[in-house]
Amino acid sequence: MPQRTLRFKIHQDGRVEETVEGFTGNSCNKATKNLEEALGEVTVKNKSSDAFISNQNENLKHLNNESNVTF
Amino acid sequence: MSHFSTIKTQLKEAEPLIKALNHFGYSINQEEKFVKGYRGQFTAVDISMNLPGDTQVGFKWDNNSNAYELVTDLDLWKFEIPVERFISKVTQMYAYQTIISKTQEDGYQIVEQKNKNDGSIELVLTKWEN
Repeated sequence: MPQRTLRFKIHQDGRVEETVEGFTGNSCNKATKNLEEALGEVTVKNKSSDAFISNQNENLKHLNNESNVTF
Repeated sequence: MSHFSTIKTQLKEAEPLIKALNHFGYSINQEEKFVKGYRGQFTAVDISMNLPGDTQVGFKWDNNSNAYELVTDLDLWKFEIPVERFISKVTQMYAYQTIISKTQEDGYQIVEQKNKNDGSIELVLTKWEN
C-alpha cells in the first residue's frame, strides 16, 4: 500500500511549488490535474527520476523520493 | 512517477477567493455587487467586499484572463498596505484554500503546515492507497 505525498510551498506572491511523490505510472499527473487547473497556470513541470522505476523496487524509489524534496 | 511543478496562481474560483477574504476578516456584500469609485461612478462586480469608510473593493470575472480581477478606485485606497501587497496576500491565501479543499476531496490529510520566515506557507499532505 504505497503512501502518496503532496508537498506545497505557497510563496508570498501566490506562486506555488508542488512536489508529488509515491505514484506509479502516469497516475501522479491525474492526481493533481484538478488542483492545478483550479490554481492557475503551470509554468514549470519536471518529471522526477523515479518515473520509470517499477512498483517492486521500493527501496530505490524511496531514495529517489527523498532526493526529490526541494524544501 | 513523481513530478515537480511550479504554478502561477490565478483567482479562478469564487469559493476559495471568498474563503481567503473571510480569512483576513473581510465579509462579502451579497446584495450590492458593485464598486463605487471617485465621482460616484459605479462598476459592477461579481464579489463585493464590505468595508468601512470610502474604500471599495470588489472582484470581477475577466474573460480574457479567465480569472477574477481586483476592481477598486486607487484614489480611494485607504488600506495600510499597498494594493499590490493586498493582491499578493489574497492570492497566497486563495492558493492555500484551493489546495486544502481539493486535496481533502481526494482524501488527503495535512501532516505538516509551517509559516516560514520568508512569508511562504509550507504544506505536506499524505494519503495511503491500495
